[in-house]
Amino acid sequence: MRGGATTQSASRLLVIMDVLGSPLAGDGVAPDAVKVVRSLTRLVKLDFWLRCPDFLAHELLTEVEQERQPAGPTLRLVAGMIGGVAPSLHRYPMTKYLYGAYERPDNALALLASRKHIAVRRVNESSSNARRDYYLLPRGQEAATALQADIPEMIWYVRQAQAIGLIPEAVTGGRMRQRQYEHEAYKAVAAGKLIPDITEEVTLRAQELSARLGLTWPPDTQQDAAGGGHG
Amino acid sequence: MTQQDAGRSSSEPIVGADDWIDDIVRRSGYQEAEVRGALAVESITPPTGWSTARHSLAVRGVHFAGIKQFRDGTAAPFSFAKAIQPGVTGFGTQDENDAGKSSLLHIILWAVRGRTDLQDDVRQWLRGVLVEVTVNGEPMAVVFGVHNRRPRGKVLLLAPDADLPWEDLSHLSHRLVKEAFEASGDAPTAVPDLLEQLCEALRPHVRHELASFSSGKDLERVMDGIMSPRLGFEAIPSWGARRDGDRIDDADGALGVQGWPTWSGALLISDPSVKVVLGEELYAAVRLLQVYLGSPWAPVAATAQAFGRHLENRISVLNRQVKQARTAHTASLEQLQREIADIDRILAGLPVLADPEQIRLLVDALQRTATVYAHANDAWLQSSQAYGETSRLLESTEADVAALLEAAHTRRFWHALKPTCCPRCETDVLPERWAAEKTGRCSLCDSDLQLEPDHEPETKPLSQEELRRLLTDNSELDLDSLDDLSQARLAVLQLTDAVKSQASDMDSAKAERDVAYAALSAARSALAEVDTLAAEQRRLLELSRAQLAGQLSERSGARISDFADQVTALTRRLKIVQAAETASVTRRKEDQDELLAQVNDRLTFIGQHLGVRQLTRAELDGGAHMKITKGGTTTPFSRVNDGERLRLKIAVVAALLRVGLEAGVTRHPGLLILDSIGREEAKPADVASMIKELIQLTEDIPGLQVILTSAHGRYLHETLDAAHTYVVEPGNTLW
Repeated sequence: MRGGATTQSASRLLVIMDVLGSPLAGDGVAPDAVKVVRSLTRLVKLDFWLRCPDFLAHELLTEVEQERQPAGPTLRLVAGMIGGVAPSLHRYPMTKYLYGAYERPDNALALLASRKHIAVRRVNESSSNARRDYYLLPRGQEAATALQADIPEMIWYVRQAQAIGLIPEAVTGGRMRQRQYEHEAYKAVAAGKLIPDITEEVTLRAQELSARLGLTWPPDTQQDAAGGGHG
Repeated sequence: MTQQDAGRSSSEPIVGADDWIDDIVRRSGYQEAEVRGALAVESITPPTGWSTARHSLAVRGVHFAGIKQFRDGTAAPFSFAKAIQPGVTGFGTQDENDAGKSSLLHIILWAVRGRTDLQDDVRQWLRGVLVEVTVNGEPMAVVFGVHNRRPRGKVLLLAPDADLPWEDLSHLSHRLVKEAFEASGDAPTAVPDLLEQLCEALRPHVRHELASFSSGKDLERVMDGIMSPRLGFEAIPSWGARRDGDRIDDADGALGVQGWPTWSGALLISDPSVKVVLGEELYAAVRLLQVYLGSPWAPVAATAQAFGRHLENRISVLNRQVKQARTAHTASLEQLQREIADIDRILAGLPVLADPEQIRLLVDALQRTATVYAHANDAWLQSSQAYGETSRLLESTEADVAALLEAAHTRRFWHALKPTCCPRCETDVLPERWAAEKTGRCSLCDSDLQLEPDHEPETKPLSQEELRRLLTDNSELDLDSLDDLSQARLAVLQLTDAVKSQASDMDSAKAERDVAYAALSAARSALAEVDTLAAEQRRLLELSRAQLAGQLSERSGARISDFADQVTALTRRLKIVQAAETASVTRRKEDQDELLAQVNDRLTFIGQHLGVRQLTRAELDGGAHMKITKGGTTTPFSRVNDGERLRLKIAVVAALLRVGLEAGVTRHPGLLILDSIGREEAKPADVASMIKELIQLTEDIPGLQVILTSAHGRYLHETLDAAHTYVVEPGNTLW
């Protein structure tokens, strides 16, 4: 699988559910659950941005352009994602299908489920194609915290997940899919083919945007930027 | 070579005449062979000896006709004819001048000499002329029509007993002229039939037609051809010096030939005021005297003199050409050298870089540095490409390491967590299942756990030191013996080394490229700095310098030396010719001195008889000068009065004839024509005594014929019989 070992994918999904899952307070379907990520689509699309820092950076630049995010800190964030060796170390490309970026997460989800970290529930259990929601259970919450503590590499994914949270469309799968399709290169990829690396294009765009905004590129990354990610 | 040389160069060397040749060899200082050859080339040949043949020329009759123009505009046909007897014949008017006396004589001489001094108006009037002469006893008729002054006619050899009907001829002509005149009513009428009619009338007396002519020059040529050989004259080359105003130098002149028209000048005494002893042309007197004295050396000396002058002229012309060529040569050499020096100066002032050789070197350098740069650039591009590829490979290998570490770490994390339920059905794992895991069975699916993550530690990845040792070991690596992470790290190590080395390669390639680029730039700017205008200028200058140098070497002066060689050759020949002239003149003088002594004796005697008062001695020398001693005083010929001069001139001819007769030499043909005698006489009665003396001379000297005119017609009547006189009535003209 493109996303690395099953344990790696499971680790990323746990981070997604922890950072981007919607908090719950006594949900009827999974009474113990603390957070929920609704729909497989959202889960997969979130994983795409997490695995492809170039596409995430592209969306963040759009956020800056459209003035939904402050230029300085966001550009520093972008610089951390596409500068240096970060993209090559943390990029796990995805294949595009008719419904966009997709990779079957079942094995990773099984790993999580067997440890009672998550619970998967269909909205309508009687329908085989009803929406599936993914609930983070208290043991999953603990595991996520332990993961960050035990494996320093995971901090990168946590920060990326936090950055995804800056994008308004990240709240639903459908809107994310829509937004991801807005990129020409992404849109142009034929079904079954790997989605290309757009790091260079995004770097150029970041330079232009910085120039337009009167900022230097690359920005000074000393402050709150997400560094190399691993040491 | 001149045309003349070309015409004479085939001559064989002179043979014989050893005495004369020895004289010339001695005088010139050249070898005999050269002397003989040179004289042959110049056609200066020794004489064969004296001519003793008797020559005679006499006039037997004259006839002419035409249309006279009067000053008042009227015109009248005329016709004149008179048979002339041996001895003295006189044509006279009764004290009338301008009555046709001189014209009559000049018409006779026109036919005899072929040349005439006839007044132009009379010549214009004439339509026909017939003169009968005897040459060495052979009767001939010179007959011609005249149209617009131009004679056209024939020379006819007549029968020995020919007796021309002068009166009939005169009437015939008169009738024809009159008819033509009356038919046209116009003066300058042509009488085309006149010549034919006269020839027709002569036909019974004609033996042979000797020649025909169609112009004045032609008549001169024909008469020369007829008279010269018959009267023993030869054509002698003569040098005519150019007139002062026209001549370039002393040697300037033209080679001519003197023949009968010149020699016959001695036949006429028309104007005693002309102070020459023989003939009436100043320049011809000496030559006439020499010719009439008849020394065989005279023509040789004259020829040598003429050709000598001609050679001098040619040498002079050549020297002028040499001088001109040398001046032009020197001038053009100096000009060429000056131009070359100018070009050299300009070339020296041009920038050195403008030298085409320099440009060629610069272009070569540019091409060389460009090639070097291209290669260096390629090497740099290749090394940077290799560096880039290796760098990317390193990056991805490092990413692999990171992913492997991430996978290992997450695996360890997750494996540390016991499964608590079935991920499929969420059924909790039972305690006995947990216990089964300790025996190597999966707590979820009961399958055999090959690798127990909890108990069997993962293969320990090699440390960096161990990896480095592996690389430096040179031992063969077994990839299968290595875990994934160690493999990836080993690759990273190798790639890092490779990247380092390629970065160094790239740096040195770039340095080399930079050096090559600097060289290229330098070559480019060196070429750009070249003043191409100056280069072009240099090219053109060097081209024209080469051309000038070529011209300079061409002017080797070959022409000058050719001229100079000719001058040398001609000068040698001139010296021989001049020696020949001197040798011939010496011999001629020896001949002449002896004859002149006899001539002078006769001259004095005849002069005394002709009435030169108190004459004791008349002394003619070879230079045609005459000294007259009268009453103890000697005066030159030019100082005596016209009457005495006339008598002395007649005496010279008579003396020449007399000596010739006695010595068997001399060449005067015996015809003497005297115009207007008595004109210069203080006492007209002296005319009669002179005519009597002339008659005596003609009796004493066989072959002497005198034809004279005089305005003192009565003295003619007194002294001459009717057959020998033609005197018109007082107030009339001769014709």
